[in-house]
Amino acid sequence: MGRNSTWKAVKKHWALYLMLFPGCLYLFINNYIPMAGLIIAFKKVNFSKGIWASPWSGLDNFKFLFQTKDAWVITRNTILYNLTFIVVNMIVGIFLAILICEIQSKIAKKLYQSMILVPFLMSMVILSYIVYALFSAENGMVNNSIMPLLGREAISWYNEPKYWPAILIVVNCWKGVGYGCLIYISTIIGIDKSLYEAAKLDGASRWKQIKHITLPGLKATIITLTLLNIGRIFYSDFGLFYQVPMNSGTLLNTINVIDTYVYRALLQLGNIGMASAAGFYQSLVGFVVVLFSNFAVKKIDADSALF
Amino acid sequence: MRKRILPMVLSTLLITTAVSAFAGCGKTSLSGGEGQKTPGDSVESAEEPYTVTMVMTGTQQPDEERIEQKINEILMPELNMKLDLVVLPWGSSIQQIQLMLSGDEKIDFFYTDAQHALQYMNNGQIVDMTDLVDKYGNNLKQIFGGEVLQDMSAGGFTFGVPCHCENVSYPAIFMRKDLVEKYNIDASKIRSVEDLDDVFATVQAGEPDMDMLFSNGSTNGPMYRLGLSKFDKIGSFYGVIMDPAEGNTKVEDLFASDWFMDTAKLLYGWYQKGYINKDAATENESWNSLMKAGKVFSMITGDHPAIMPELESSTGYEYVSVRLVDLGVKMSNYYSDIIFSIAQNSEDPEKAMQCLDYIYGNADIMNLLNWGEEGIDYVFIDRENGLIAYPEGVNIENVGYSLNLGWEIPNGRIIHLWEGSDPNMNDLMEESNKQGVPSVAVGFVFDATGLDTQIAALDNVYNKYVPSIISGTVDPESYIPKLIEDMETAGLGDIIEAKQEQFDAWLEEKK
Repeated sequence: MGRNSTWKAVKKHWALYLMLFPGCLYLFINNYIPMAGLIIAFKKVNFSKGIWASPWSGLDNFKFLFQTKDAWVITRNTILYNLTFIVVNMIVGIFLAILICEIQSKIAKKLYQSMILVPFLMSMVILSYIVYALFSAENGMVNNSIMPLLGREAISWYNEPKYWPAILIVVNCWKGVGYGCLIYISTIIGIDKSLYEAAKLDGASRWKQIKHITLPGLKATIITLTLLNIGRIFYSDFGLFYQVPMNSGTLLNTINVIDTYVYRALLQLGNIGMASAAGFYQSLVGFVVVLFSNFAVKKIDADSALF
Repeated sequence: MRKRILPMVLSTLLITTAVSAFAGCGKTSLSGGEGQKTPGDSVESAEEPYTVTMVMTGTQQPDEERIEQKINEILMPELNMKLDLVVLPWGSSIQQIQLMLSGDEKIDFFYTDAQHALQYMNNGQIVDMTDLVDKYGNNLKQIFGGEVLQDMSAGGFTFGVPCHCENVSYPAIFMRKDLVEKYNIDASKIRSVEDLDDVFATVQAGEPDMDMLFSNGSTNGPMYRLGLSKFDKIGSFYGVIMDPAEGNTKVEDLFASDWFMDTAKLLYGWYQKGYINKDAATENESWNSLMKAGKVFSMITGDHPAIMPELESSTGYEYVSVRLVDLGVKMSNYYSDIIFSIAQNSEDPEKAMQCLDYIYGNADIMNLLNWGEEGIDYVFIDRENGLIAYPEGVNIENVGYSLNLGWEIPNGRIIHLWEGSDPNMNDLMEESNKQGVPSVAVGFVFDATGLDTQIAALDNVYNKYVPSIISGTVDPESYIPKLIEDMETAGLGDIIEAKQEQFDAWLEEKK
């Protein structure tokens, strides 16, 4: 597009651009300006001197991330959990979205749509106590009501690492699924109704309609959401991994992720240089992963790639 | 199709950020404390009164503003200053102080300990108080003498001033008096920690729903309380001096010591017998609240002359105490474990210092700070001896202000005593402190500059194993060897080496 025609387009759709402006401003202030802070990752910060005057420290701040054998554990946990979360939340989200869209009663539809979002708005701390109420060794519902019913011994849940991947995946799904579901619902509503009518006339069953119309219609949304999530694959939901398991040390091999590792390492030290180093490392890996997955998407289906 | 994707990403991004911004709204306010205050007195002064923000750790009091007003009525005419008290909760005070010191938040002086103060010093978050103490510290010099204040410095940088409170304590068991009487337990037969087995067995038989011993994975748990005289941690648990009263000068690994293994085994045994709360490793409630709720029979903590009234007034039960070890040691942090430091972002460190020094010497302010207002929060029951209690109709549940932190406020020696205290408390304290055997390292502070990488890694190893082990919830035979190995990899050796080196140099200098 030539310079002239760009300008013309802006003039023609000025109202739309105006609507875009606050969002862009927000992104700029919130996401771009703080990037200058990346410099902290390479400094030994002294508050009385200020950030710029503090001495440089090279890559020293990054060392603690790779100092112990935990480096491998936290990287593995972060990526595997996030991959599972992406897949599970996508499948459950789409499933629920389709179910909700099939509901005929308008009131019921709105009701389910809102209810599924409620856990998303809940604080992790509250959630952690709901989980605690279920799994507490002494007073928990599972140990006191469910295990005896099944004729099983009580389990000290917060000391048994093997159950936690499952617990965390379920908890995360319960909490997070509503958000993605909402986006899928809006996409499904946007699919041209005449397609369904034509399909019905041709005698397509509900299942066939879903398979051949709804799912292909969702493809772009699925790819977009997945790519966005993959960009954050190296970040983990701190509340989920710290609050929900009640910071129980015995579980650490299965629940320690980068964010909790950094928190535990720096809680006492308060070294912001090292904290920024961790953030820097996360963004860098996230960036590379996005580039890579976009490349992969391009190979498979050029139309769906982001750029 | 291609053109649709990018706008879609953008719009999704915008929605995401908008939602997260919206969700974040509720969380941004941090530790209130900027409550509006009316000036206590209308003193004519050319200068605008300076508001000193004092940060402490404890339980927030509902009537904080009323007490601040009362304090200001004294401070305004004297110093033309106002005091703004900020009380941070125990659970998060360290993080909140860190945030306050990193940002531009208003903070003048705050309660901390030498170890944290040294970190703040290295990060440039606190000011050097050497000249300030020299210039304004009249009360301080009078109370502590020059030497103690000297022990508060590292490399010529004075990082804080000490609180005036009890310091030597003995590991002891505190048992609920009503239950001890109910089950006819002869407390005089308890000589050491092993004797507790029978006591717990007897009480548990009668009270199956109660936990026999309070335990958690923190430093308030039974493990470290039992070790009160056993090791000197000189700043952190990474490298300690075992049996410091015996003149041992070798820095070694606490977790590899026989004492650590034996005590962990003892606690694990109790856990298996059901004496310890099953969720001990993840227990977040403080002992006060669990005791208050009547769920626990006993706890192990440090015994000193002032503890009984403190326990009784904060939990509402009476106790029988027995010392489990007959040795009290003045540790390296004898003076520096409870200190006040002045923040780098104090707008006027000189005024902060002036105010701090002034309140050290003012009994009225100390009483207000600790007990609240006479007639409302407490009344005298024995004015001659300075003994106080709750007024009619007021109790621990509904009192408007009762910080009850005699050990944390700057000068706990000049306040009234709670009913049940010995009127000669100060003499008793003096006596008790004299009986304490000094550790070889008393006065030594370890400067961990340059070891951040190791400490960060060690903190992770610590959190992985230690809370479970010291709460008694896991088998030490299988966990301690793993702990030792992981600590080794994380660089414990470097810390021990550095500690030993600094300690040897300090010993040399002291000669």
